Amino acid sequence: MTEATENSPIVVIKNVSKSFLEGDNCRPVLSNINAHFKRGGFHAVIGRSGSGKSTLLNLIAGIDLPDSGSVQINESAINKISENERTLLRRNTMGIIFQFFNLIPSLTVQENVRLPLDLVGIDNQQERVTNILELVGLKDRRNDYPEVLSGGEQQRVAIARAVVHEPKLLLADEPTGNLDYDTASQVLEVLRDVVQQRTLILVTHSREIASHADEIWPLRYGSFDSPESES
Amino acid sequence: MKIIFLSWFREILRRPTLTILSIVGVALGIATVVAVDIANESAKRSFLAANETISGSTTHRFTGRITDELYRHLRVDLGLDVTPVVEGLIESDRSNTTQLRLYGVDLLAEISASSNYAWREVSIESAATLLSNPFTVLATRDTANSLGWSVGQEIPVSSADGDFKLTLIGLLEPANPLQAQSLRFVLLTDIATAQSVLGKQGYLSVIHALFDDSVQINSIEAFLPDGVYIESQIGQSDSQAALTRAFQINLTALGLLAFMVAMFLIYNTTSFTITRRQRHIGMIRALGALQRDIVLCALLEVLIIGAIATIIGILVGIQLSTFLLELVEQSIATLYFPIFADITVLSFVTIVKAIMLGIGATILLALPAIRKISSTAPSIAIGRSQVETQSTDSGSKLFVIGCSLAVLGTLVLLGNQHSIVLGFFGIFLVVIGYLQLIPLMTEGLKRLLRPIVKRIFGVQGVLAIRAFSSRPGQTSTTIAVLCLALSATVGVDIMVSSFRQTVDEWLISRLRGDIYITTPSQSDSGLASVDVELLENLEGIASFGLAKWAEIPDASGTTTVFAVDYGENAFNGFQFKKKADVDLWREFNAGAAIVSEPYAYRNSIQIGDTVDLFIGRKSVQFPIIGVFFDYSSDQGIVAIHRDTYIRHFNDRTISSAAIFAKPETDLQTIADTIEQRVLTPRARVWRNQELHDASMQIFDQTFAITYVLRTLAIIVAFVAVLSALATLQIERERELVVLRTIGFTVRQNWSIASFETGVMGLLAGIFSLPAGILMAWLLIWVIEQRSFGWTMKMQLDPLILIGAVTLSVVAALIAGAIVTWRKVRKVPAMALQGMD
Ligand SMILES: Nc1ncnc2c1ncn2[C@@H]1O[C@H](COP(=O)(O)OP(=O)(O)O)[C@@H](O)[C@H]1O
Ligand SMILES: [Mg+2]
Repeated sequence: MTEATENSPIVVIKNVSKSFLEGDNCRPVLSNINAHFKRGGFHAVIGRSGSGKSTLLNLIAGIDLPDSGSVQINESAINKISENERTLLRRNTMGIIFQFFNLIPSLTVQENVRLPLDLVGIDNQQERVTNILELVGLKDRRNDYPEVLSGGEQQRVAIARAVVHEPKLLLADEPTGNLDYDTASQVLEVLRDVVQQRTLILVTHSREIASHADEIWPLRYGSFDSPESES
Repeated sequence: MKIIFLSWFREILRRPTLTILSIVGVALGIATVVAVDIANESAKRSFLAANETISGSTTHRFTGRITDELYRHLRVDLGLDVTPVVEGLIESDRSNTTQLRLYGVDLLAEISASSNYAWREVSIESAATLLSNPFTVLATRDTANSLGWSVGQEIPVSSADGDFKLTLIGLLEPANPLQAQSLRFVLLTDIATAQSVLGKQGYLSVIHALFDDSVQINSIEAFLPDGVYIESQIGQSDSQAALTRAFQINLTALGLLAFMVAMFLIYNTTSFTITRRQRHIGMIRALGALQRDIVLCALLEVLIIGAIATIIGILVGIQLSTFLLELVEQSIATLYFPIFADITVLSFVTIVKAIMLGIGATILLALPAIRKISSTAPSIAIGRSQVETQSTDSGSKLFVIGCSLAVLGTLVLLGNQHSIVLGFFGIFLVVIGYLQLIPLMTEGLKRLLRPIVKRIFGVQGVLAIRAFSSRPGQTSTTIAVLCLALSATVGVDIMVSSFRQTVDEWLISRLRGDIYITTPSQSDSGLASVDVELLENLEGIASFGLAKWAEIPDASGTTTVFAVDYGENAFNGFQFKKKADVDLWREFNAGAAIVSEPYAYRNSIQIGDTVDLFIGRKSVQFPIIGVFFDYSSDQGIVAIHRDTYIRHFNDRTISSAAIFAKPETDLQTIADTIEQRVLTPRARVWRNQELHDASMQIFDQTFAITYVLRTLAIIVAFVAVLSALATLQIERERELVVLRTIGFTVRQNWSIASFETGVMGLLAGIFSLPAGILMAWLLIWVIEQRSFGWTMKMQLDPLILIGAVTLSVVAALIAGAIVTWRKVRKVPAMALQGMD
């Protein structure tokens, strides 16, 4: 993997199509989409429920693979490398905030947050974990299990877990989708705080949320309109 | 990495029930295999121990009508290393009657002999006391205690020759527990005492000999009187071990069955263990855990489960084996040799087997599931559509696999006609092949059921059978486990009941006499002549016939000869499998022989061949005119007319008599009269029905272990189903909770859950029938025919079939209830919140 140049896009999506088998018929979700996300900044993908946002995010994360086309992260096509390399790429360069949090129920809050550090092999874990939990305001709850936390708190743990290892690319899937307005604003604040030096790709159905982004990609009927620049 | 392990193993603690079930399941499978192994080995050891201690390590033995004189000649004149034995059964009348083995040996000869007997340790003093005082004996402390006998005390005993009083003058000190066991209920005495008590004055039962290479066996044979034979003991233990064959084959068969169920169980349990991790794996994979990490965690979990289960399995297996041995002790002791339930031999091989099964097989069988789950794309695992980790293979592929396995199994069965193990392997392949078809059949039946269910039960019914579509793989594997155990049950039950029925019919046909008198086979003298006179003069008797059971030497050992003269009517009780085209009764009277089916099978006999028996050193040929069905001995018997027997062997002793009453006489009165007047010691008088029932009782005792083991197979399967359902239920949990929130009552949830498991049970039951019948047929063919040479008519008892289906449904319902009972009740809010 060659080191990407400073102003090349961090994520490039070329002619990507993805469909799912549902019983006997094939259901196209994304058809021949193209996009590129610049390094740094806050990008929002906006689309209705069921438009394929989560699917797209999964493709970017390398959790799923496109049927055709290519997804490039730092100029290397992640659908061309091995599963193992993909996983390594994901754990080293990305942080993911899932739509349904995906906290590990058998790990406490701080253990959940420590997990990525453990995987990447970073020492000095405790300090980082404490700092990040402080940042998301959950230091007191670090020894609790996720199931006793409220939705907003769980989401904040998920954010802490996604950024603790300081990934270059942060992917967020409706991070505020399950939250009330006030909590959503808080979570968004936190996100803004942690994102600074990184690239954030956030998918959402809400224009309101998307309006905070530097760039908005509207996803309609499985393909992109051209991006709208905000600000 | 550390945290991944942590979360993996905390996950176990979060749902301990499933892990416990997995361990229990695997442990049960191992326990069964271990128990059967130990029982088998212990039976063999008991047999060898009994043999070894009694006969010592000798090279040859003399049998037949051995006189004191012959012994004196061999020992004194020829200076050979020989030791005599006079042995026989006696009864102690203390409290309840106990059979004892009276062992008369020449203690001085024993002590100087180079062979190694238990009584080598007997002190010279007690040997001297034994020799100088008639009717004194030695016994082990165990024996004395269980008879309530103390040194110096006299106890009354009775033998075929009358009543005696024996005095215990000392205790035998066995060198080891094994020896102690084989000396249990043995009374050691000198030759003279044994001869008087057993009524064998002047005669010896056997002479054991330890010959080195310098001894010319031929020259010894040359001067042996008629009726005395010398046989080599080397290789003898093999043929003696053949006695235990019936027992061992039975056990091994069931052991293999247990093994088969255990393997299947382990396969399922481990697959389920892995599968239930799906979501968890998806999450940690999405966060960046490598496939390797997952494989490592999964392997470690399976390894731990396997290790714990192995330890528990071995411990439970030891307990179980004692139980099994106690169970068979009675029937084996009656039929073959004393068996000692407390000699449980946990051999190294058994432990290795248990470990290989518990850890090796567990890991091996978990590999497909581990491979599949670790290579599943994380998105699928965390997404809404769950992966099928089990048999996602299409129906047609499974069909091909199933058929190939069945064909392979058939080839194995046909290819080797003699190996029992290969026979079982063949059966295993055929049955596993059949099980592959279950997903296909389930799918078919589901399609058939759906509209009916919808009509009758509405949405609730559809919800219930939806499980079959949401997880067809796991559902059909669950059905397959249950089906396998059930088909084993059906197979064994049909086999045993067919066998029972066949034996029953055979007994009815064969036992033509109204009343029988039998004498213990150990008694040489048999029925006293006064008793024959009694029969001649008794009122109400139309006729009677006499018979003799004899062991006659043949070219390779001995042949059991049934010399019978029960008359033409009784002769017609023989049912022939093959017969010569002659007047059988006339030819039989004229000196021809008929042989039993196992005899014909063992010796590859055709009609027109001859039976060669030895009289002294010359052999006599008896032409064979028929092969008759007989289930009394798996070694086979030869029947000749008693007149023929007397003509050749000059032996007029009588083992039993059959009495035919005049019509309309009261049989009970005749039986009672005979019973009162009969003088032969320990002769027994049986009404036809009593003899029949006693025989059937022995049969049932022999197969008691079979029933226990197949019940065990069911329990193992039940645990498997329990864990399978528990896994399936994890997913249903959410659904049930959601249903509760939208207004389903607890009862409605119950009925949905029970309906689902009930249908699974029903399907398993139905599918097990053809497999069970097939298995029965193969068992009959492989086991009974191949190993015993017995023909059995397969009988399909509808009760067995209905029973299996009922059992299946009930077991599934119970298992379902156990895993569901807490879940259906869960307060919706609480449950929804705690959901991951
Ligand atoms: N694993 C899957 N299997 C089948 N269909 C899927 C799967 N994942 C997503 N889909 C389908 O693809 C479409 C887009 O899904 P998703 O990307 O989750 O939408 P969004 O996140 O925009 O709401 C939906 O119609 C969904 O049903
Ligand atoms: Mg989505």
